[in-house]
Amino acid sequence: MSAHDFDAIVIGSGISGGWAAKELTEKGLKVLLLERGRSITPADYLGEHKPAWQFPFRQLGDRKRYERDYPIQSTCYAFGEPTEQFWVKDSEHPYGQDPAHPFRWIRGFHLGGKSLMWGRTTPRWGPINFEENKRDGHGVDWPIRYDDIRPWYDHVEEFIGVSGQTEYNSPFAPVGRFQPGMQMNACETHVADSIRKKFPDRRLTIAPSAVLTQPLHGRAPCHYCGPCERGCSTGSYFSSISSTLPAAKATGNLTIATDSVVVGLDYDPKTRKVAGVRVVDKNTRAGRRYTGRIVFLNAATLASTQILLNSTSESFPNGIGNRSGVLGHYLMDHPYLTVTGVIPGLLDKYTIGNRPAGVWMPRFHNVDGQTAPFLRGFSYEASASRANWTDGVSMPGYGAALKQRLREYGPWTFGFYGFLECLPYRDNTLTLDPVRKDKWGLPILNARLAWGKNERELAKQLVSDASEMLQSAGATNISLPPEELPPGGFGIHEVGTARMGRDPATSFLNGHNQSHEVANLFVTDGSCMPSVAAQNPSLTFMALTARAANYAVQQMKAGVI
Amino acid sequence: MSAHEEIAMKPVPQSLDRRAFMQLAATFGLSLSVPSLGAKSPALTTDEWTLIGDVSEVIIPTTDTGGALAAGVPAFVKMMLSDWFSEGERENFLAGLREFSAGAFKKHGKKFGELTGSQKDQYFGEALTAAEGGAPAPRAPFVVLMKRLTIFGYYTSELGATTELHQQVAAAKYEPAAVVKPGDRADSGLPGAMYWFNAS
Repeated sequence: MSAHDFDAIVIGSGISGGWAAKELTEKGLKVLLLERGRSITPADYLGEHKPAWQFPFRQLGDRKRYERDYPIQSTCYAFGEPTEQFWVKDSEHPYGQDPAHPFRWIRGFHLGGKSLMWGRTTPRWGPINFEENKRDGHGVDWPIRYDDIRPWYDHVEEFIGVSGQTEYNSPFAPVGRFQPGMQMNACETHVADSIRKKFPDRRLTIAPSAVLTQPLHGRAPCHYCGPCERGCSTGSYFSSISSTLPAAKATGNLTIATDSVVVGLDYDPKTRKVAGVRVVDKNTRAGRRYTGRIVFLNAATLASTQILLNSTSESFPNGIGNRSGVLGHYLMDHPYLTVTGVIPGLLDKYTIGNRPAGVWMPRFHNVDGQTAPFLRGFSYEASASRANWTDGVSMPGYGAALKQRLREYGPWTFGFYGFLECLPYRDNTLTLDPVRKDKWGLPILNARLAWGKNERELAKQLVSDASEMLQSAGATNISLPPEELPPGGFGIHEVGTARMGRDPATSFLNGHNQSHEVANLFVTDGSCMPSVAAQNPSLTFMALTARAANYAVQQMKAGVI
Repeated sequence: MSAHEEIAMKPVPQSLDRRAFMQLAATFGLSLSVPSLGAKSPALTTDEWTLIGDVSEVIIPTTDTGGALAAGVPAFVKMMLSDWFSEGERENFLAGLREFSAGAFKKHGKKFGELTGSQKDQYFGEALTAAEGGAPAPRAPFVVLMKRLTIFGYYTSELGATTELHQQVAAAKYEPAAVVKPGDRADSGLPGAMYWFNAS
């Protein structure tokens, strides 16, 4: 024990890393949290509540600098002049893409990672999601079932604060330990009612969302400013900064090392354990090495896989723990498709406050067995809002009449933002570049993600179902997405490249997110997932992290690791 | 009735002349002089800057609230031309501006800045109606770009966002079905991350 610098080393401080740090420190372990980026405090929420005219480019951003430094990041909806400090410069952090099957790697390298800018929609996965790989034979069987994770969903929801509705218990979104949900606006309610009349099994409700409607652990309920991705000084949405890291710090057991780029894990074949974590200082590029009894890898799917692949030894020439050869394969994401329409009427209604939770519709295909001509399904996030002055550029005319028209609220627009489940394919890969390295000596990652036939069939159905539902609500001007699916990474739900499974020959991790081969190595970010479901993944990997931390500490206490 | 006809019948009441523009510029601290701009600033004449200001005021005029000039739209246009437009977009804009200016002179025998308010309004209106009614051009015509710039610059200004429209930054409550009352101004919005502008 005393031979180690720390009881546990957690690599990455985002959504899952913050949870690992909290759980392990609360269980009494001395934890080192390594973060490759800079520290962040609420003082860094530079765009919070700042109106357009206070930005040099009025929220259009410095286009030329973005084209040079942020060509990938700037394609993300949450990137912009009020948030640009939260994103990596693509120019400083290169990676490779397959030109025919590109992948957008959206990243934030700072304390808290993407938890600062995330979308906050936090549905549970349902029992079917953990059984479906086995049912249709795509991907390995999840080594756990819903009942294994259920108490950990409870635990996570209660701590992070999830607001949501409790009337409708979907098989794909079991009702959890929710704070009172936010409400749907007048237009969303109209659309939900219209859909339900025609399609009784399709329920549009407020989405479960990691934004508070009641105070929790010193965090204030939401004040409805709206754009959470600018940061929240009242801590009203869950981030590592607002929630897990303060809890971990309060134990007195946490040491945070920022600007610490992990380049590899050393393997000791005698103990079959990680012997040390190799770090390069981001600024000085000096090397350091830390030791811990256990290691939790939480750098997010792509970066975690990069670290594992780069951790080679005589025992594991293709990456630590990679006896099966699955490491870096089966990359998944959610293709994300938008269908919008104008909803006539309700012109005497508007909303006060900018609600940060969307509405959503859980999956409704293939619910009771395989009934559709395609596998699995999709869910929709959605929202309605009234048009404003930004429509002025597409209206004819000018002068006092135009000014008067833009003074009044425009029509309601309703948007469906569908996420469809992508199957795991071996050829969707992350690999290390044999030649190119980054500034810190880490081989750069090459990513490839191609959609298959099932994804294209789901996409067609997703678009036609959304159009039909909009029509049922009387929509006009229905706008469809391009037929070509968007590139991988666009959903920012990348998972799957270090998957869990029952068989060490076909999976990287066991049912406790522990490496089959390396007893003290746990990977609990999205890379652990053998399927991506059609729900947002973050709540699930938070719950898996808490569950794995509990198991790891039990094993340590039992003297097994 | 087209939007243009509707407007032509109701001339914009307070289209500012050059003198009023200069006064407003002084009042609102607008810099009109080319030398104050950075090295990459487009070389526009004082007349051309005046034309930009006049046109912006035609697009969003002063009514019971301030218009484009009061909101500092020319300074916004200057920033966009200097720092945001690409070289090609800037050239297209400047070529369009000069064509627009020359056309006014050809029609009236006077510089655009010397026309009466209603002449400016009518000349701009005809050009905009032609541009908006015609087939989409490979590059946006000057009048269309000015309309986009003016709308964007106006409604993202403090005057446009908070006086002309209503801005709620943090309502501290959510009312999902609030009732619009007569005279209510639309919300100017505090959008999440990035606005979008089409300069080409």
